[in-house]
Amino acid sequence: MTIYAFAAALFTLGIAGMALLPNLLRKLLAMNVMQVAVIVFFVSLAFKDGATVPILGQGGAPRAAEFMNPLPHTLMLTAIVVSVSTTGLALGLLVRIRSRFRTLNEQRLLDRLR
Amino acid sequence: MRDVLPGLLVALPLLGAALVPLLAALSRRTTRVPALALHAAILAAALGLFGSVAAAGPIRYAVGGWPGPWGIELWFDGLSTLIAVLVAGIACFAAFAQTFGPGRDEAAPASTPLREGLLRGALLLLVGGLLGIVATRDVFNLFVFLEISSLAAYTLVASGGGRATVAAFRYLLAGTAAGSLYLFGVGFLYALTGTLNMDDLAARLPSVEADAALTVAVVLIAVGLSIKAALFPLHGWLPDTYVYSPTPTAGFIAAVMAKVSAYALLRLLGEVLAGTAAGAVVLDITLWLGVAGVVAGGILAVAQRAITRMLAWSSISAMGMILIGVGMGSALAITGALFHMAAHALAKGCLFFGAGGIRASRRGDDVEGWAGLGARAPWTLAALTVAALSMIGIPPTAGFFSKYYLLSASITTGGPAGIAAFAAIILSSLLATVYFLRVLEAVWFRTPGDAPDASGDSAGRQPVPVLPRPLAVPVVALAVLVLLTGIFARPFERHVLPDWESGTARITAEAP
Repeated sequence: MTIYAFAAALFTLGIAGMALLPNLLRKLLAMNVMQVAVIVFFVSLAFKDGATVPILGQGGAPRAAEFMNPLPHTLMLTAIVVSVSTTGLALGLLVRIRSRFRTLNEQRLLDRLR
Repeated sequence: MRDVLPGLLVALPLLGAALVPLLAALSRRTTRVPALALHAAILAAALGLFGSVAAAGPIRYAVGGWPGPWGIELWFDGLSTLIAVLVAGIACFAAFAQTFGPGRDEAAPASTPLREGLLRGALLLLVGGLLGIVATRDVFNLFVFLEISSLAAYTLVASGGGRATVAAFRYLLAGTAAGSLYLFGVGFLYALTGTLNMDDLAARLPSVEADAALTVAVVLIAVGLSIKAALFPLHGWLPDTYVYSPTPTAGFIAAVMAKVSAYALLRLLGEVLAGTAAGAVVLDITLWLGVAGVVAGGILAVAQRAITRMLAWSSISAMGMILIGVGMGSALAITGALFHMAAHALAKGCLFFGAGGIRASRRGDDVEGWAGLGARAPWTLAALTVAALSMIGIPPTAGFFSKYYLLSASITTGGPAGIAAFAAIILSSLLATVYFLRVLEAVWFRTPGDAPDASGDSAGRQPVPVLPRPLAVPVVALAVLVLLTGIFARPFERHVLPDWESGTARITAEAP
């Protein structure tokens, strides 16, 4: 239960950071915190006390109760890939923005846009 | 045909997105022909599916031969094939404009075959992502396609350079927050039911105890998709993104991007989560926020001076209207919402291609710059006028029929929500009249002032056309489609509705 509260807190922290921080790079870091929160949530979802990794062939019929659920973990492999590519694209955009406008401060950028 | 088309529809654009840039990098030559051929093939596949579903009923396709609920399924009914045709069709126009158009603002870097190939790949990737969202029957797969389409969209928006990069970054933040909220919600659903397949979820959810976890799941999914669908007050990313995008991108994104998310919202709230108590409450809230969005979007559109920004706010109003239909949830309301998706996609695509092109060729984006254009380019301006009349809701354009369906639905819904929806739709038409007539009056009845005109007659150069031909062709074609959709409204209604009803009936029949 604690780990779920932790994931929720991390997620809220990330969203708050994206909304409140003035610098675009900091917003991006807050976005990563938010994405990690979802990954923590999924990974802890699959955890079971006393269970092990689901590999067959250690003798006897496999019993589901002894295994952790591998599906959430595999889902998170995809989510991590998504997160990495989004971060990469975002960093590329930041380089462009910085070289064109000489600032990453959101308010100053918005003033320049108008 | 029914066995291969579903897979092809999603695989073609994704493969093309990888192959076109590769081809451009290897050959160092233009990739015009392969890219346009791919878009035509995708449209052909979508039309083939549309016809096949109309003739022989919905198609269920197990990806890789793994049947649901274990494997990922694609599902095509009247609803999804309609949106697929819409996406693939408008993508053809966007590809045409991207290929032949000026497309490039002065802020964008110089064009090379490789850069062009990459941007064509990004457009194909965007189309593939959107078609994947339309087709998939798996809620996690939907997240992946949502992110694929979003990443491609950020790239295309940012390709405008300068201010567009800032708009793209802010869009990326909003889009990723939306995706993460949705994924968090999917996690809750998976924890509650142990499945990710939509049909399986719909069958299992009624037996799940209605507790806080289910409510949280529904709310997270609804909020995530509402950000993507630009439901008021979660629309913050939309205006700058539409206004600063390069014209071919703006036309495509404004036409279909938010609508595909609204479609996903309709699938999940109207079909998968419909049996839950929280789902019903969220649908009610969606309706009221839709009403607020229709009114706020309309009022802010009136307040804008720049024409593209006015169109962007009018989109927020239109998304509100679609979500009013989704929120009311009756068969008639869903028809209205879908019809408005189609009508608005065609009309807004037309208007954004036109307004973007005129902004680029005449270096101005305000009403004064459009004064007297009707006399100089009667055909294109007549096409834009048809699209504007459809936005207002004048018969026989498509916009009239979507508002007609939604108004009838709000009367049958009744109660305060029905009255509010009715009033909001009428008000939106009045506001649209105000902001479009201002432009139309300048176009047709005013003579051009001595604005810095790019015609260049005095200098002896060739006069610059009001709208370059690569953009004029999509504009006129889309306006014709707006008229045709309006004229053939009845067959459309009969095509989509039975499938939607059988879709819900199928789920209740499969429930234990």
